[in-house]
Amino acid sequence: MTLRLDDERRPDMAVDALRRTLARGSERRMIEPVRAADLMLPATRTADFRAEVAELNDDVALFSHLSKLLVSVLRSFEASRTGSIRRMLPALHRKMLRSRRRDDADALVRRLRRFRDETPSPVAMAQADLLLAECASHRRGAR
Amino acid sequence: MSHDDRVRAFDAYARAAVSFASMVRRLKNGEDALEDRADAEDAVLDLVEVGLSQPSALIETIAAVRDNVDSIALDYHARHAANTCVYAILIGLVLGMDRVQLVELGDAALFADLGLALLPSSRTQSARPFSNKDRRGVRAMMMQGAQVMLGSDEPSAADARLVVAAYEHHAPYRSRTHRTVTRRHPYSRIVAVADVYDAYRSPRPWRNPYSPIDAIRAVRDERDEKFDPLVVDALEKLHEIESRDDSAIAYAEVRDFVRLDASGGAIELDL
Repeated sequence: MTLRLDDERRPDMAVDALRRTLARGSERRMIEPVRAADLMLPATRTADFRAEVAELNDDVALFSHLSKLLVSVLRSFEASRTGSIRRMLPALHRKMLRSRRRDDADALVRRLRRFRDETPSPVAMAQADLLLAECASHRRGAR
Repeated sequence: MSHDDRVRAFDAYARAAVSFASMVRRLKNGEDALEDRADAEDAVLDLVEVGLSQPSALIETIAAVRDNVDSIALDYHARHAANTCVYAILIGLVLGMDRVQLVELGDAALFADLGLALLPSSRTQSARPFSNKDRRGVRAMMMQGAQVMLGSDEPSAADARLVVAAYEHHAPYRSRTHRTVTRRHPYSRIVAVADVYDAYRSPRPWRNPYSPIDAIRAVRDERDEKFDPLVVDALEKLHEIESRDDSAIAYAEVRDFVRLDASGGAIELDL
């Protein structure tokens, strides 16, 4: 029997069919149980990694990270044409201002200015101007 | 392993994969997919709970998917998304991440290749290498995927995490030009390894699936270049468990036609 797992009319049946197929297919398996604690690498080896997760998972650090990424995406393939970044970057900028992380917001504006000055594409330059204008309006609103 | 753990793992996996497939279908039709996203995230939550209680149940789920790949008419992208999610959760467990982080990581992994899934299947199923035009198409689809994840003009931190992982997980750990370590989010580094390992283990129209040993070797070859060395080490730890499972399968297959006699002193073959 073939299953239509993306069938929009019966997603519950699709889930049920897949679940049953997996249960049937695993009858021959004899997997050895293992506890989560036994799987873990020694805590000393993973301490730095876990600290990095905690550091970058702070909301503002995360938005700052995303904004850097989006500017680099702008730089690499003019994705601003799709309109997505037109919405995302100003939203991130506003968020940083609201979180009183002015330094991060300033850094985002600096990156955008640099991008605007360096891009050879008139379309990308115009997009960057629009983004900068939007960021400036957030600042006026924040004052 | 308890029967309940297996049932919960299969159920959560099925819900994650079907929600993903449904989300892709809706997006391709230009429809709203937020409800599917919520269902998928609910399934990830359950996968994490199973993983914390009995990680073997997750490993067994992936094994059952691989064993039945021909009888599951599940689109490669949905299967790959759910597998990547499960591997990422398991790697996160090995690295000692907490429950909340594992859920965030699982969500990031499930949606990481949403953009690729939106490409026409004629392109993603073809053995022909990507042209520049194809690459532009992939990038545009990644943007579309990101837009869906952000959902509104006021992105949440959860949305931001998804977008970060979706963008970064194909980027190398170490810069090819400067040889320095690039500062990618840790979730992106985990998703990168989970994504590639599952891709190697999966059949594609142009090649057979890699064996576990070949797949781990291929990932290891790029340790500290494309992949974070610690994350590769975590995958190796999982690989040990998966390999034990493969030995068990071999035993189970033999056991089916070789039985001990009543005294236990001799065997009879049932061929």
